[in-house]
Amino acid sequence: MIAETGIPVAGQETIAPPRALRLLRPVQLAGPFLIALLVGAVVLFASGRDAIGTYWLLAQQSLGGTSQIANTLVAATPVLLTGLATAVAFRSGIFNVGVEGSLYVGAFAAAWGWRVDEVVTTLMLNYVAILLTSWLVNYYFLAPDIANSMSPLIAKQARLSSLLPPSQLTIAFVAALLVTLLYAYFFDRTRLGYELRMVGLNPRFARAVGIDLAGAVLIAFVISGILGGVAGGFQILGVNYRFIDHFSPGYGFTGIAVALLGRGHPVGIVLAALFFGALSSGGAMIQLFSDIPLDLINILQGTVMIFAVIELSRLPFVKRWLRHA
Amino acid sequence: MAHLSVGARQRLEIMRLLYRKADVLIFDEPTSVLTPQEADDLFRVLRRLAGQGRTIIFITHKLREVFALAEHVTVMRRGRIITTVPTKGSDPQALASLIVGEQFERPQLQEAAERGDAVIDVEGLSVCDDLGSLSLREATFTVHAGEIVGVAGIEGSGQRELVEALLGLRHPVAGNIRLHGRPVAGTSVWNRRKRGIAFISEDRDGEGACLPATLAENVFPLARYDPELARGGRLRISAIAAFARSVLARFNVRGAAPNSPARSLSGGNLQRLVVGREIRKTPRLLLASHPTRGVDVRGIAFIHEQLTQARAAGAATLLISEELSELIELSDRLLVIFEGRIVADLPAAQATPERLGLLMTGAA
Repeated sequence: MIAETGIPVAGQETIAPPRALRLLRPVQLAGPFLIALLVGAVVLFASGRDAIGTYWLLAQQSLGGTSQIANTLVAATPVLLTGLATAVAFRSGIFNVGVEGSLYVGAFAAAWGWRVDEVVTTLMLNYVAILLTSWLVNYYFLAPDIANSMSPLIAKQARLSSLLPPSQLTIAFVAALLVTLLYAYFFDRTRLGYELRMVGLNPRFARAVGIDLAGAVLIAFVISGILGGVAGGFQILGVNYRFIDHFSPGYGFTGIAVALLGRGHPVGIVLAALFFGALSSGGAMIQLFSDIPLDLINILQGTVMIFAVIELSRLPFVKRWLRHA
Repeated sequence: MAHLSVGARQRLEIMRLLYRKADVLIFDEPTSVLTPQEADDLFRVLRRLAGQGRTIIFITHKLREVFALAEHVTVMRRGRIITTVPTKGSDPQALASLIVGEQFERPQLQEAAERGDAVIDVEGLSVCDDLGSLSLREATFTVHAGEIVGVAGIEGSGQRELVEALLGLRHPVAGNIRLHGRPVAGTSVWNRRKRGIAFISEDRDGEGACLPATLAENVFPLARYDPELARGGRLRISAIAAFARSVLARFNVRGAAPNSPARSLSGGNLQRLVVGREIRKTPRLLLASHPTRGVDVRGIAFIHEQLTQARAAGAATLLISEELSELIELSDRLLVIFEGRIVADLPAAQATPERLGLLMTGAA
């Protein structure tokens, strides 16, 4: 009987502390990363290694010089774009797990100047995209005289030139930052962005005030797919110079973590992308200079991922979904 | 148990509590889904239990129930206990003042307006609920400009489906809806809103407002195509903030800035915002679904005032409420709905709570 009617009681007027929705809380945001470093330190200590020394080496190899920083930015570029791709969907109340697939199609299109209908790109399932591009490269676009499954190199004029030779830092990173600004502008300053945000925060409210839900979902998927495709395209034009079968080490999925840990906030997303970029560039180098196994990097990533999953359960539409389940 | 009436289910629940030898029974707004007759039955049961030495705590926002049932009343405001007084020697006016915290005068409501042209014509409208069973059966009625038509009925008798069909949230299975003589079938919610349909939802937190968004974002949606506020798809942030401030001021939403989150408002203040958003421009048809639910006494008076002002300005209003006194006081005409059928269409002057209660339960 108690509260069975679901009717609020008169006078039940709680004044919740106002939540600064738009302000980033640096401490909260940095929390998962600091805890990950702590967990990694415990593991290092337990295996008899010098944790501080290892982290120092990791920091040096990812941030300790111009070329190290350049490599970190190069590594951050694709996950920044896939992070934005995922965040666009999240903020519109949908979970686009197809970013990885869009990335492949975008990459393939870049390698071939092929015009792709982005709606198709977006809605295509990851495996369909990955296997389709794999099939295309193996049967139709295979580079002659090479045993691996890759396309011929793209023309030199089509490659993005390095801003900082010999690194592969190109305007792709600058473009990704511009896309971040566009992302912020879109959600905060445009009517369509406002509509998508309302759909993400409360679809019943959005519907009652006359926002077309089906249209909003389609638009969010399309934007998300385009960004995923751009991530793949830049990777080909700026880093690989050719389409390589199964070239992505999971950029699309890392993008999910980037979007979650950045809490959909543009600055947060950039910071999270830089973190993953640093881990991947520093982690690759650290093996050359020490006996630290790559597993350490995996542990750090894994710990951060746990927090990403916790973040996931705090998304409004996931909360609703959990309540109904 | 599903086939039992709500009143019977409540009695079953009480029996279960007694079986577990409960000495203190707490009721939180138990009458909101009951007819007046069922509520009276419940009160009889509760008085007998109190007579047997049990303690009854009864939470309600209906002053009438306090005086009909309780010996002592405790007034709470914003989480604080204000006072506890015996009901004998107190009166509704004094209690209302205690609840709102100051002298409280009921505002004068606008008198009934001149009835204008038909705004909405509903003919043979049948609507299914989510489970596909027929919730509204062949409803036929008309609402005119300058008229409030009340809908009385036990909750879940097809009111929600009727409102959804009128707003465009749900496709009817049969029948016609005409707005100013033109059919609306197949048009979108936004299209209908542009043609002057406004909607105060009964579910303020879930549908009427967007709690995680700011107040400005809650006021803005119906004006989002206004070129003053959004030009070429770009939002004009300062213009929107000024617009929100003006709506908040006009509808007396207190202690609120445009960029504070909607979650920080009390229920009554948030409902003022919702009402303000919906009737800022006088709607042609206002669908007001339980507009005063969960609203404090002062907020209720304000909303009543706004509804009658909209009527005076020529709005056609369909008012759905569980408060029979509210329906009788505000409406010009009353429709009574029972199991999805409109079983009576009578002038409000001829309605009494008892008669409505009988009609609502199919007993008359």
